[in-house]
Amino acid sequence: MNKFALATLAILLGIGHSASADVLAKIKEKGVLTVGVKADYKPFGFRDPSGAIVGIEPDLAADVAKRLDVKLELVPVISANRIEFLQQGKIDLMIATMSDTPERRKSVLGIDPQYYSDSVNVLMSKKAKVASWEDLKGKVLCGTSGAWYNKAVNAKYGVEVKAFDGSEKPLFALKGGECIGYLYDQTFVQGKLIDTEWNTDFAMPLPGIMEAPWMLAVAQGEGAFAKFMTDTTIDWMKTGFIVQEETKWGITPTAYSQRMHDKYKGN
Amino acid sequence: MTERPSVPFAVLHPYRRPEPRPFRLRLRLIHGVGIAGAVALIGGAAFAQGGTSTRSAFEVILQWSPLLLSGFLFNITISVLAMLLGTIAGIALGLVLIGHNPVTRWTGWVFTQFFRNSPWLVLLFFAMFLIPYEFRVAGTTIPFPDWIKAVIGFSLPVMANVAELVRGAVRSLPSGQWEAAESLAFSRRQTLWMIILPQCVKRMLPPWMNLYSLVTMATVQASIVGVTEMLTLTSQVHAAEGGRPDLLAPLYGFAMLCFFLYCYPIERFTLYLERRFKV
Amino acid sequence: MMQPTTKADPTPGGLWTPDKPLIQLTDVHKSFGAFEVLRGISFDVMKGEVVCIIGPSGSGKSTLIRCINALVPIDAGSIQVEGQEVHDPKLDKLALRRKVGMVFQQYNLFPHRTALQNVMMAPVHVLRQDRDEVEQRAHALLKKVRLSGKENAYPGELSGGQQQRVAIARALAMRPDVMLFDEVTAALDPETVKEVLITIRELVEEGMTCMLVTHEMGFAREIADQVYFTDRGVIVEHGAPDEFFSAPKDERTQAFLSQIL
Ligand SMILES: Nc1ncnc2c1ncn2[C@@H]1O[C@H](COP(=O)(O)OP(=O)(O)OP(=O)(O)O)[C@@H](O)[C@H]1O
Ligand SMILES: [Mg+2]
Repeated sequence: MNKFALATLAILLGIGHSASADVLAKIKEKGVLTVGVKADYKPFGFRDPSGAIVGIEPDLAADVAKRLDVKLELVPVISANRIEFLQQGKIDLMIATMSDTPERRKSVLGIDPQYYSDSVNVLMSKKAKVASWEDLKGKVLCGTSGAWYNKAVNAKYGVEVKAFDGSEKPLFALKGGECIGYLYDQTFVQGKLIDTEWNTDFAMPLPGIMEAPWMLAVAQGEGAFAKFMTDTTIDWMKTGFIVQEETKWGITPTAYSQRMHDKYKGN
Repeated sequence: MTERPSVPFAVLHPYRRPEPRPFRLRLRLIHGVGIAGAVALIGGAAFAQGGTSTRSAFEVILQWSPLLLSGFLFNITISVLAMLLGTIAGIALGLVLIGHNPVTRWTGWVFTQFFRNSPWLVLLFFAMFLIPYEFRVAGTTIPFPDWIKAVIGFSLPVMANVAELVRGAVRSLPSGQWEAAESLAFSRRQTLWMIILPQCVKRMLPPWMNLYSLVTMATVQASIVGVTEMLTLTSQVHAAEGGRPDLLAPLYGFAMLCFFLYCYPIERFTLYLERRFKV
Repeated sequence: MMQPTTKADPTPGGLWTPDKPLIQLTDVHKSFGAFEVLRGISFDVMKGEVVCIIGPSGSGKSTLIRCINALVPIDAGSIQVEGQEVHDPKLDKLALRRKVGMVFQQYNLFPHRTALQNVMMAPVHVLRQDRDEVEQRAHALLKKVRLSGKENAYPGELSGGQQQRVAIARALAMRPDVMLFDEVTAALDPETVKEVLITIRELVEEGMTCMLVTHEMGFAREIADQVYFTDRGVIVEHGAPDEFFSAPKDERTQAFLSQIL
């Protein structure tokens, strides 16, 4: 809702953005790369007790800064403001768990190949002996109402999805034994499994399905910087940097990361 | 009357108000119980679960409290600056409201009503999106971070409310003060600054402090527009702790306690001033 | 703008001399809405003269006295103070008010300032006189109104009579040529009326030109040079006090005096 309000307001007020021609030149001149990252999505971007923002995406940002030989400044962003920040020039680069959609590609310049991918998965109780998606037939999963894949999963695998608002309520229901697992974004499930709170009784035994890639983004018109980021992303895939990062931050490397690594490491 | 039996009519004595009791923030048993209750609420939930592998809510809050308190300090900074800015602008606007020029007075009135009757959050959005994130003045760039925009956003309703306070206080002074000043050949400007406004300060202080409390509590709305204040940090800490549902109440309870411990004494002091200045 | 004016300054017309009326009202009219409060008032006050105005409540006495220092604008007629037309829009009102001191029924002291500061404020900030000099004079004035020792008291700490005497001292600090008193004892309890009246009498004895609205008939008879009786916006009768009080000619005057005495 906020996102919508903000966007509407911005359009109503006809706010333009300071389209400075070459952001790469600006970064070099200032000696600082400003990257918008999440600060509330473990392990992609979150706070440590000192207040610093850490995680996979801050590490990626740090690597970009190193390649440019400039200092790094992280700006915490939320879904509601990350695109505006990029358009305003307040951040030079966005690495903020943003799914690739055609609408978003209209407002920002998305980087190909996509650096990461979310998918759909299940935070499963260890007691439920489920080894494949087909085993779920006739079982009950908790879910978040409004998630686009609830229906598709139900249709394809014959599993009943009991939907709740938000992500707190289905987790409660899962702990209360109302369902055997929670059908949700794989990145979220992975984040949960970092903590002992969840990984003692729960696991993620299934492979992810229905991949939803995330994209890096720069402001519209920044072709040179986009090219640089494309090369950087390919290099990350080639060296296996992203897979290393996943391992470093305690999550199982995703099929997407593995696949991209395999694809690029040859050449 | 018994103290002065020599004069039979008490009405002949000038009325003197009883001296108000001096202000002291007494921590009575009830306060102790309240605070203990809040602490129990914060710490209790996780102790009850008593998981060996998970840390108690108390430990979690203790570990993160420097960060959370720095966020709280930020809320206070925003509120103080917004109040400062809003008060200065509000006094100016208030003077326009009581001025002689009908055009400026009417404009000022529209201005005041507009900002007084808009939701604070909407004003905050406006400030966020209308003000650029940096200014270029003569070659140097002056950054304009979000929190400064939030200060401006909050100072707008403060301005309108202070303007109303000024107007109301000036109107509430007996007209004899204006007449006396006029008959002593004070100019209008002198009358305002030397005679009227100093008397208004006293009348305005309690509602002004009340307004400050409201501003302080409203600063958490800045989290909605992405300012990293205490509420934002609280939710980020919750995420960093793996989003444990049992931590929600203690973490937000801690934020509540901070605001309460800050605003309650202000509230008490305001009440004391109100009693003291009662005419 | 705030240049101190010396009293000897010639008025713009340069016409006024002390042998002419210090205050001259000619056919003054004033209405509040449809209600005509003053319906053609004329009289003169000479320098050093003491004039008392009496009359029933609502007859327009306060309005009349406020017109003289331009607190209230008039609709028609003329008021001159030292030969200057008070209601001339070009007139420097501040200059006029420096010549005319005024004391109110409700004292109207500035409650956030001490007695001494109340007396000092106008000379320091309006006349821009030297602060030390003003302070010395303020002490002298407070002594004159028998308030030595109360210099640092706030108005709220003083009795009504004391406050009214501070108000008189405050008006005198501007060294006015004429003092206007509007029922200055009406809000006081009987005990303290006397102390204020004594102060006014001393002023009169020093030769101050005074205009008083009062209900203190004994006092009026004692100190007035002329007594004016107003009713419904006109002067019904006037005369020297002995003659006025012992043998009033008009019926309305007789009725009013019989009621009050
Ligand atoms: N500012 C004003 N607006 C409207 N009416 C007014 C105003 N000032 C005075 N009046 C009216 O004018 C009339 C005369 O008032 P004024 O105060 O001059 O009478 P007064 O002779 O001084 O009476 P009192 O002895 O009660 O003081 C009253 O009827 C009063 O209501
Ligand atoms: Mg009167």
